[in-house]
Amino acid sequence: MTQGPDAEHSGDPVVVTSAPTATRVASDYAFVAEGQIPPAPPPPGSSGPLLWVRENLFPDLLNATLTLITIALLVWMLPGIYQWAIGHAILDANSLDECRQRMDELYGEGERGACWAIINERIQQFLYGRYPEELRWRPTLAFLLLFPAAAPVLFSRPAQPILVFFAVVWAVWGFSAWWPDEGFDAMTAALILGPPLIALGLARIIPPVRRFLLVFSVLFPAVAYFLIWGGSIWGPILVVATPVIAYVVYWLVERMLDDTLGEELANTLAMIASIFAVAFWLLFGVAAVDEALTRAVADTRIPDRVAMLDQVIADPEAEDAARAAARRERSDLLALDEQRAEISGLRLALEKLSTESVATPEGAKPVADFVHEDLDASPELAAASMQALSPEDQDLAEAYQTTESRLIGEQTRIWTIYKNFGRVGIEQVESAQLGGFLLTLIIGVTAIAGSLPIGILLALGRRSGLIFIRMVAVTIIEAIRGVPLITLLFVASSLLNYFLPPGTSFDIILRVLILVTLFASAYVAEAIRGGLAALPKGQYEAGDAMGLTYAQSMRLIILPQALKISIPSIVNIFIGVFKDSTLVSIIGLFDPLGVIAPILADSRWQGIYAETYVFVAALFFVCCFGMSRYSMYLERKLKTDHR
Amino acid sequence: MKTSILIGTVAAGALAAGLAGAGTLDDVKAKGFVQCGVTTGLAGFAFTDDAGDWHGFDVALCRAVAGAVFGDANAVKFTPTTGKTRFTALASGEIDVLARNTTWTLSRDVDLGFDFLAVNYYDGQGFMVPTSLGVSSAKELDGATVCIQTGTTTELNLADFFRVNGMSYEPLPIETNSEAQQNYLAGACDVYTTDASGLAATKATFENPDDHMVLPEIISKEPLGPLVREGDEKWGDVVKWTYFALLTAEEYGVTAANVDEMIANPPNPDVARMLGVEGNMGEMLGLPADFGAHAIKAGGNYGEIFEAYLTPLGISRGLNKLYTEGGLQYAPPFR
Amino acid sequence: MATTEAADPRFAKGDRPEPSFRIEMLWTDARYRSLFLQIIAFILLMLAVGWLVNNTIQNLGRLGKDFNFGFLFTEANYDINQRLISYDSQSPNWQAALVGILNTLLVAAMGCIACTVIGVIAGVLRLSKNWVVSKLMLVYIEAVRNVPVLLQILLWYAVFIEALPKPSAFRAKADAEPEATLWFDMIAATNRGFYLPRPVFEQGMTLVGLTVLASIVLLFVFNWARKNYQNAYGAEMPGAMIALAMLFAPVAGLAIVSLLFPVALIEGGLAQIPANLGAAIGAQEFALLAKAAGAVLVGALIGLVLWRAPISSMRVLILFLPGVAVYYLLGEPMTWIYPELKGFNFMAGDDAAIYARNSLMALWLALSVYTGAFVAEIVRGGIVAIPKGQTEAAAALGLRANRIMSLVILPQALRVIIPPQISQYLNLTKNSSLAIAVGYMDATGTLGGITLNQTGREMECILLLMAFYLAISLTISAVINWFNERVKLKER
Repeated sequence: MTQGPDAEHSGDPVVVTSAPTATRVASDYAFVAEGQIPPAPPPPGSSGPLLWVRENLFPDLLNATLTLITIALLVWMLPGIYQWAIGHAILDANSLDECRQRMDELYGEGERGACWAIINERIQQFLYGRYPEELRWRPTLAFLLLFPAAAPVLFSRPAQPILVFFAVVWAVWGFSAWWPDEGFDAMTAALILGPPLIALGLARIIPPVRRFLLVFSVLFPAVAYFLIWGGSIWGPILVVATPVIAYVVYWLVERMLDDTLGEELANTLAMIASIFAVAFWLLFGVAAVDEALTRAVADTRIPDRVAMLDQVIADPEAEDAARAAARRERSDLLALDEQRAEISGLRLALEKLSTESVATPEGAKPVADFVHEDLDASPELAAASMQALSPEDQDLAEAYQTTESRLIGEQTRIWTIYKNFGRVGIEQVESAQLGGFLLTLIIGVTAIAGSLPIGILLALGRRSGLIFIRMVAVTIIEAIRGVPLITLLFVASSLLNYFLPPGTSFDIILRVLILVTLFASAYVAEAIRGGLAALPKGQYEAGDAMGLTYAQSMRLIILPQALKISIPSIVNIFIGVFKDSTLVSIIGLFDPLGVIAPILADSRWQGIYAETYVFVAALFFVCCFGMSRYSMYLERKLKTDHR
Repeated sequence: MKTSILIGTVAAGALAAGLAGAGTLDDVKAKGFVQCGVTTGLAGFAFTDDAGDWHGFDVALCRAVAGAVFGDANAVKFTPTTGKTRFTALASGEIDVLARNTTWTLSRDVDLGFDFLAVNYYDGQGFMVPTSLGVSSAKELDGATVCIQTGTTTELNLADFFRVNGMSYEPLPIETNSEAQQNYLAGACDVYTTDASGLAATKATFENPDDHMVLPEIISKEPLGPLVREGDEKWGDVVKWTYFALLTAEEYGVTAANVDEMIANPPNPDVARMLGVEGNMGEMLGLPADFGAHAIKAGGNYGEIFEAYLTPLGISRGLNKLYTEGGLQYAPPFR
Repeated sequence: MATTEAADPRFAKGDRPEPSFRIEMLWTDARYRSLFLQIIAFILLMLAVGWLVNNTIQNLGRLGKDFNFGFLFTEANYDINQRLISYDSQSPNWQAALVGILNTLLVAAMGCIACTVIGVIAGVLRLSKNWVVSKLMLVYIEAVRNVPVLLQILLWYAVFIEALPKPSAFRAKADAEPEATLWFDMIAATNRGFYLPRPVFEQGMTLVGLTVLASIVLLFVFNWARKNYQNAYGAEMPGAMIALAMLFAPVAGLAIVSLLFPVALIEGGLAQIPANLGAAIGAQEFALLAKAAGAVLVGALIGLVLWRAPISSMRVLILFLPGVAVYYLLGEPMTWIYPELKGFNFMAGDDAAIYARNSLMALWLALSVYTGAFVAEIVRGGIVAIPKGQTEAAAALGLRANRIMSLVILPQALRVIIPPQISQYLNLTKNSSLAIAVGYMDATGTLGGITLNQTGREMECILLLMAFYLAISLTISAVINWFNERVKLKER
C-alpha cells in the first residue's frame, strides 16, 4: 500500500525536545528544525466543496461543457415539470372543465397544470378495478399478509425489516380503516394492534420464528385465494390438506408393500401411488368433498329456514309480497325431496336406456356411445349421423339425449339450491370484477410462485443427462422464450379452450394466469440453470461421493445453493412479469392500464390523458424500483456469503 | 403461489364442464342466469353507470331474455367483449348470447358457425368529419386519413368504398371506440367511420357536437342483431321469440306499464298468446307461459327501449320503425 | 431408502446380483434406468400431446371448423397504411402477413440501431466522473427500466398526437399566418407523423452510389493490407497514406472502370465531369470547381483527422467522403421535393411524401429508449468488468489512451457486452409486437389482428405468428452461440 500525502502529515505535531545528556542541542545549529512545522492547510481549492465541484463537475473542457449543457437542460425543463405536476395542479374537481376553470381562477388565464382530480376520483378503480367496494378490505388484507409470507421464502435476514414494515403498514391501515367508523372497543383494538405486535415480537426472535413463517408461506396461497375470491371455505382447506393425503397414501402403500416387494420398490411404488392420489384428489376429490360438506351443511340449515319461512307466512303483519315470496321459497325447499326422487327416477331410466344399442352404418353401437360420440359433433355431422339411423333408433337416441339432459339439469338445479344454503364462507367475488393494481399483483405473484416449481423442473431437465428429457426441456424453454408474451396472451384469450376437453371453459383470468405462469417458468428455468452452472463441480461430486441419490443430492446440496444464487435474477424476472402484466389490457382485462380507457370515455373527463398515464407509470415505478433495489441488496448480501 | 388452488378450481371447472354439454337453455336454467356478451362500452348500446350496472339498447335485449327465462330482468351477467374476442367468447361457451351490434354477414353466419336470430337494429356505415373540414360528401374524401376500428366489417366496407370510387386513403386502425375518439378529436385523422348509430352516439358525447357532422353517404348495410352458437335451435328460438315479443308488444301497444292490464284483458288473440293468457307458446319454447309478459316488464317494448337509450343520442328510428309505420321491423305472428 | 451397502442383507450374505435381467433392474440398475425413465417420459409426453390434439380436433369438429391454411390465399379485403411492398385490399392474406412481417423487421432494425446508440452513450456517460451527467443517466436508466414498456409506447403516442399540430394548422389562413411551419422548411411534423422530403435522383447518382460501394470494398482491402504491413514491418502503416488512398482510390478506380464500360455503368454521369469543369472555367464561374476542389481538400483533412479519432468506428465516416466529393463534382445530381399540404395531407409534388407515421415513431422511440436503458447497464457492466490492471498494464507498455481503449479494453469488454446485447435486440423485436396498442401494422397487427378477425382462423393465425417470432429468436440465438463459440476459440 502506498502512503498518501495524508499519511505523512497525520498525527499531532511532536515537538522535539533536546536530550538532557547532549551537550549540544539542535537549536545550536541554524539548519536544524527545533520542532515539526505544523501542517499547513491544503492549498485553496484542493479540498472542500470547491474541490468536489471542480473534480466532479469541471475536470476538463469536455466535462465542463457536458455539465453546463446538462444544467441548462435541467433549468429549462424542471420548472415546467414542477409547474405542471405540482405548481399549477388541481386536486379536487368534478370534471375537466371545472379543473380548467379553477386553474384559470387560481393561476391566471390559460395557465395549465395537471388535473389530478381524476386520479383522486378514480383511485379505487386503479387499485381494485370493479372489486365490490365494501369487500375491498379483503384484497388489502391479502396484500399485507403477502409480506410475512414472502419473507422467509426470499431470505432469512430481510424478514426482520419486512415484518417491521408489515407492522407499521397494518397499524396505519388499521387505524384508517376501522378507527373512525367503529369507534374504540376491545375487538377493534386487538385487530389493529394485535398483528403488528405479534409481527414485532416475531421480528425480535427471528430464528425460531422462521419455521413458523415458512408454514404461513405455504398456507398463504390458500389464504389469499380465499380472501380475494371468497366463496366456500372448504375448497381452500381441502386443497391445503393435499400433503396430508399424499403422506397418508404414501405411508399406507409403503407399509403394505414393504414386506413383499423390498424397500426400494415399495418406496417407488408408494411415491407413484401418492402422486396419483394427489392428482385424483385435486381433480375430483376436492370438488366431491366440497359438495358433500356443503350438502351436509345445507341439510342442517334447510329445516331452520323452512321454520323461519313458516313464521313469516304465519305473521299477520307481514306484507303480501313478502308472504308470497316466503311461500314460494318454502314450496321450493319442500320440493327438494321430490326432486331427489325425480333424479333417481331419471337415473334409473337412463341406466335402462343405456343397455340398448342402435344400428349405425358402421354396426351396432351402445346408445350412450352414439349420443356422446356421433352426436357430439358439428350440427351438420350430427344431423347426418341421426339421419343414418332407423326411425326407432332415432327415437331411442333422442330419448336418451333428453333424459340425460334433464337429469343433468335437475342435478344442477338442486345443487344450486344446496350451494346457496350450504355455503360456509364469505361472499364470492367473480374474476371479472378483479382489476386494477390488484390484478397486476395477482398475476405477478401467481406467476412467480407457480413458475418456481415448474422452472426448477425445467432447469433440472435441461441439465439432465437423459437426452430425451433434456430435449423436451430445451424445446419448451426456447419455444416460450422465443415468442412475445402477447402471442401467449392471445393463446389464453382465444386458443386455450380448444386444447381442453370439449365443453371445459374457465374464466379468462385463470387462462391468463396459466399462460403467464408458463411464460415466467421458462425464464425462471434459465435463471436457475445459471445458478446450477455457477456451482463448483465439486459440489455435485461431493453429493455423489456421499452416496446420495440424485433426488437427495439435488434436494440437500445442489438446489439450496443454486436457488440462493438465482434469487436476485428471479426477483428481476418477477419485476419483468409485473411490468409485462400490463399487456393483459390488450386482451380486454382491466389492469391499471386497462381501466384508463373506460375512464377516458367518461364525457366529464374527455380530453385528459397525461395524468392517468403518469399516475400509472408512477405506481409501477415505485413498486419496480423498490423491488430492483431489494434485488441489488440481495445480490450484495449473497456475494458476501460466497466470499 | 395459488397454483394449487387453481388446480382445484380447474378441477371444479372440469367437473362443471362434464355436466355441461346439454342444450344452452338447460345450462342457462341450471346456472340461474344468462351470460350475455356486450361491447366494452358504446354510448346508447351498452355502458355502465356509476354503480357498475349495465344499461343500453343491447343490454336491454339481454335483460328481456333473462326476464323471459327467469321472470327476473336481473338474472343476467354481462361479459364485455372487444371486436376481437367476441366470437371466441361465444364459440367457447363463455357467453350464451352475443348482443353486441354485430353485423349479420354470410361468412359469420355460415363459416364462423353462428346463428343470427334477428335484426334488432338496421344500421349502415357512415362517416363523421369536423365541419371545419369543409367536406359535404364522402366522395370528396380522396387522400384523407380515416380512423377505423379494427376487427369489424367497417374496415372491409371502407376498403371497398374507396376502391370502387377510385380514391386513395390512409387507414388509421384503432382498437377501441374511446381511442378512436381521442385520435379523431386531436385531428390525427380527418374522418371517423363506423356504424351511423355509433357515430351519432359518439358525436353526442363530444364537448361541441355541432362542430362535427355525419356525411349523408351510408356505404354499407349493417343489420345488427343478437347471435348464438349454431346448432342450438332451442336456445336460439328463446332469444328470437323474446325479441319478437318486444316487437309485437310495440305493435299492439303493450308497454311495461300496462302489461298487467293487458294480461287481464288482452286486446287481441295474438297479444293473449304472447302474454301467455291463451295457448301454450311458453311451453313450446321450454319457458314459463308468461315469458312474453316478463320480457316486456324487463325494460319495455322495442319502442320503449329505443326511446330510452337511442333517442336521447339524437338517433331517429328510420329503418327501425315498425313495418306498420314504413320501417323494417316486423315480427312473425305468435301462433 | 438411504441404506448403506454394508447394511444391505444381500451384500451381507455375499451373493452378487444375478447378471441376467430382472424386471426391477429397470429402476434399480443404472444401465437400464435412464433408458427406462426416458421411455416412460416419452410415453407420458406422447399421451399428453395426443390428449391435446384430440381435444383440439374434437373442439374444432364441434364448431364445424377445420384446420387449413387456405385462407392465406384468399383476398385480404382490407387496406394497410404502411407497406414496404406493393399491396392493396385485393391482395391475398399471405401478402398482408408479409407486409406486417416487413413492418416488424423495419421497426426492429430501426430500434436496434437507436437503442445501441442511446445505450452506449448513456452507459459511457453513466461511468463518467462528471457527477451531474452520471446522476442524470442514473435517473434516465432507473426511470425507464421500471415503467412498463406498453405504457411508454402509449405515452409517446399520446404526446405525438396531442402535442404536435394537425396538418390543417400548416394551411395559410386568409388573414393570418399558418399556425405551424415546416422544420427547416423540409420536415412537416404533424400529429399524424413526420413528412420528409422525397429525394429525386438525377443522372450521375449511380456514380455516387458506386463510389460509396467502392469505398466500402476498399476499407476491407486496406484493413487487410494494414495488417500485413504491420506483420511485415512491425510498425503501423502510416495513417495518412491510407486516408488519402481511401479518398482518391474510389474516384480513380471509377474513372478507370468508366473508361472500360462507359455507357452501361454510369448513365453518362462521368461524361458530365469534363462538361461541368469546362462550363465552370469557360463561364468564368469558379464556384463549381472551387466546390469540387474544396470537397476533396476538406475530405482529405477530415479523413486524416478521423483516422486518428479515438473511437475506431468513427473511421466508418471516411467511407462517405469520396462519395460526397463525387457528388459535388457531378454537380449535385440529387434534389429534394419538399412536402407541401395538398388536400387532407402532405404530399411531395404529386407523389406521396416520405412519411414516418406517428405509430412508427412512437413505437420506435419508446422501444429504443426503453431498451437503451438496459443496453446502458450492459455497456457499463462490460466496461466495469475489465480489471483496472489491464488499463495499467497497457499504459505501462506505453500505449496511448485511445489505443488502450481500442486494443485492450474494448475487445475484452465486447466479449462481455455482445451476448446480452444481442438478447436485448431479441427482446426489442419481441416487444415490437406491442405495436397493436398504437395501430402500427406489424405482423401482430395484420396476421394476428385483422386477418385473424376477418377470417376467424385463430388457431392458424396465432400459430403462424408464433412461428414467425420463434424463427427470429432462434436465428438470433444461433448468432449468439456462434459469437460465443468464436470468442471462446480465440481465448486459448
